[in-house]
Parts: sequence; structure tokens; C-alpha cells
Amino acid sequence: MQLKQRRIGRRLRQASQRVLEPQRGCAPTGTLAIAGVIAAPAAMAAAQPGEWELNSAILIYSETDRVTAIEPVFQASRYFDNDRIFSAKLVVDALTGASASGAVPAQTFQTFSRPSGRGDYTVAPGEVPLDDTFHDTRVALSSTWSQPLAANLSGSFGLNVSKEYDYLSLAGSSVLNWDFNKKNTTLSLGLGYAQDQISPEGDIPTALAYQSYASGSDAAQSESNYAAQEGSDDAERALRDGSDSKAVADVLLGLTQVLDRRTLLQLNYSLSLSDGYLTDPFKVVSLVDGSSGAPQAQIYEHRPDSRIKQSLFLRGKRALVNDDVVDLSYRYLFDDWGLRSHTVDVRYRWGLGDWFVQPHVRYYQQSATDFYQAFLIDGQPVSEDVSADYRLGDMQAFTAGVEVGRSAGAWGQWRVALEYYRQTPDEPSDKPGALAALELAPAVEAIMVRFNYDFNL
Amino acid sequence: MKKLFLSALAVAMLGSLSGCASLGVEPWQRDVLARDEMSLGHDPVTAGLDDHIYFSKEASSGGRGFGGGGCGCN
Repeated sequence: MQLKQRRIGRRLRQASQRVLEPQRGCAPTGTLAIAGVIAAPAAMAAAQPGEWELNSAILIYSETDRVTAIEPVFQASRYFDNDRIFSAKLVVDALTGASASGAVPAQTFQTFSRPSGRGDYTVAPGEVPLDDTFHDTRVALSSTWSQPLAANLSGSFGLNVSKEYDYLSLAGSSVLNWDFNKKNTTLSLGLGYAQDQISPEGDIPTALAYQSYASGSDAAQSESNYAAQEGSDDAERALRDGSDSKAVADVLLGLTQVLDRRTLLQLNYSLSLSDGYLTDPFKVVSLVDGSSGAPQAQIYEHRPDSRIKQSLFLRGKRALVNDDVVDLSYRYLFDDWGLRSHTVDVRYRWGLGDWFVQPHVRYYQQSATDFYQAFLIDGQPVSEDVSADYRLGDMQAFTAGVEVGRSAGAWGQWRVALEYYRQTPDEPSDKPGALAALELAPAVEAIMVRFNYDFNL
Repeated sequence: MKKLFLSALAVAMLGSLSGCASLGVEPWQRDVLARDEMSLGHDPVTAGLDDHIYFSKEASSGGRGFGGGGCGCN
């Protein structure tokens, strides 16, 4: 779809060049239009048939005390005659650091089993349990072919493969675009299907099964308590399957409309159906004592085995009189897990000759899924689906950043962006006993630095 | 709720389609729209990186278009 939109841009440029050519120096409207083209920053010429367009980027994402990711991307697009484009993209995603396990902090030291079942880790009083063995490298390869199918109909067809140590995703997608009303209106239909397989270290835990766990008044005591009962989950581990899978089908209906010479509007409706293993095998839920609030045990989480997700996405893009560009979007998303979310994203591209500065702000708010519980009270019945993953709870998130770049030059275009991201999950309100004094869902902060470089060959 | 939503969406889309005939520009008025930064698919590499971050950290994903493959994303 993005490729198709880029192609529309290229076609628009070619169309305006064709239209402008015979008018040069004659009609005043033509002159004005030429002035508009010339006044615009001399953007890198779009790749012509027979040329390659190369887009590269590297992202460094770093959370305070948690995950760090380094993600290089390289995309090459070959342009052929008659608006046919082949594109291939490689993404590498190297992750290290710690990730919240879902367990609650305590007034004591706590010792947890590593997800693999080999080894353990101990967390100090008041600290949110983070599994610090989190590291993985993902390699994703995707390719897209797009071409006109009829006079006003074009299609693009893509394949994706994404592989991690414990995860494999295979996906295919196709998008059809129908232009009409002098190409001022485009209707899009997208269909996608993905088949994912997860083979976690330590296999697939049994839903709601107890995980080896102990606590103590100091680290040594906690660890010796853990050692005394280590292996208590051996019988459950012996029953585990090595892998599980899920299938995801996506449908997208889109409408893009040119409103006037400076304004575009886009409306998308998306439907996503997931079926299969949607649980996170590394997440647990704490069972706490109803009066003291002290954690007694940990069980593995379990999520429903299907999810129907729908969203409406509305986006407007407008070039102001001074040729700055405002890009505004809003997404409303809801699913049958009880989640509702609102996302607002605003970018303002401030043109400064060959340079540009683009501030960016994003606000996100989600309501909790029906089965989200920060903890369970020990001894009370446990429902079939339960997760304490804060990413399924009530949460707000805020992003603010700025991008600076040079949009012209013989050696291509480059730009660099710095962004700050902060998630603030809601703290549960009904914390019993000593838990009331502890912060279960602290804010998560991240800094992102991105560098992009684009050129044609 | 879902039916109501879908029919509202259908009405909205049909309404905007019938209104489309009067909206838009002539081919020679596309100078501004033709600029790369006015394309909705401008900077797909950055859009892909952003989508991946938010997919990993939040319970919502998608909407803008199709892209990328699945991941474990803990």
C-alpha cells in the first residue's frame, strides 16, 4: 500500500511535468504552477524506469533499565516501464535487556524460575520483577511486486518472512487500488494472511500452571528457599508441547480522496482475525494473599485463542501556503477482548530551503482487556483467561520528537530523528495489605534515535 | 454495536463517494500534491519502524495500511 502510494506520487509528478511542459512561458496559470514546482525544495528526483531507489535506516531504541534494540533496515526498489515496481526489504532487530514478567513486587526478596526452566533470578523488595535474560535477534525479509492491472486498477502483491530464535512468521498480502474521478479518488482493498509459529525456550507452558517460586527476607534465604523446591514443576514441564501456532487474516478497506490542490484525506477500515496461540509463554500472574498482599505463588498466563480486532483510521495531509506540510491522523481501535484505544499523531514538516525540521507528537490511550488482572487473590477461583501483562491494561503513552534532514543533494537525502516515548500504565486501585505501598506498574521511558539515508542508483 | 458500526461506515463511505464528484483537482493542478512529502506513503521505512515499536509495546496495531510480518515481541 505504501509502495502504491509512493507510485501515485511519482505518477502525479510525471503527470504534472507532462501537463506543465507545453505550457511553459504561456498561460499565467501554467506559470504559477511552474513557480509552485520550482519553489518547492528540490527533492531528490524520483527513480525512473531502469533505476533503483535505495532506502536505509538504523534505529536505536533504548528503555531505561529495560529493553534496548538496534534495528537496521535496508530497502531496494527497482522501477520498470509502465509503473511496475519490485521492492525488497531486509530488517534486522537485535534486542537485549529485561522485560516485565507480569509478577508483582513484594516487601521481601523473590526468586523466580527463568522461562527456560534452567536457572533462576532474584528480585529485591519493591522492585518490579524483570526477566533479564531477554535477548533475541529477528531477521525479516519482505518483497513486493506492484503493477497496473487495468486502466484505473493497480495491484501489489507481497511476501514476508520473519525469523527469530524462537519464532517464525510467514505472511502474504495483496492490495488492489481503483482510481476514479480523474484519479482524485482511490478505493483500496487489502487482504493479508500470516501463519506464525512459536517454539519458546522451555516449551509452551501449561495454562495457569504453577511456576517454581520462592521468597525470603534476604537474597540468600530466598535463593535457598527456591533451591529447596526447585523442580516442583518438573512433572508439568514434561507434559509441554515444543511449539504452537497462530493464523492471522487481515482485511483493509481504504478510501483516499484529493480534497483540493493542497489537501489529501484517507479513511481506512481494518479487520484483523487471529486464531491460535495468542498467549505470551514468558508471562506470569502473581497469586497474592488477600489480607497481607504478599505474593504466594506464580501461575502462567493464558489469553483467549481468538481475537477479532477492528479499527478506523482517518488521516489528513495538507500543504500550507508556505509549503510546510501538516500530517494529522487518528485511529480508533476496538476488539472482542474488550480493548478500546485512541491514537492521535501529528507531524509538522517545516521547510527551510534544502533542509527541513519536523516536530512530531503522538498520544495513545487504551482501556484494559476483559481478562487483564494485575494480580490474583490466592484461594479465589481463577478464570480461564488471565494476564497481568501491563500492555493489556489501562495505559496512556506519549511520544514527542523532532526530525531534521536535508532533502536535496547530489549524494542523496539524509535525516536524523530523536524521539522520547513514555508509557504510563494505570496503577491497580485495589491492592491488598503491603502491596498498597508498592508501585506495580511504573512508567516506562524510552529514547529513540533514527538515521535515514535514501539515494538512487 | 458491530452491525451499527458497519452500517454507519458503509453510509459514510457511500456518502463520501457521491460527494467525491465535486471534490478534487484537474491534472494540471497537481503540482503541490505531486511533491514527495505530500505522498501518503512518504517514508515507508520509518513508518515500518514506528509500527514495529508500537506493536511491541501496546495492545493495538495496524490501521494505517499493511506492512511487516509478525514477531514474538516480548
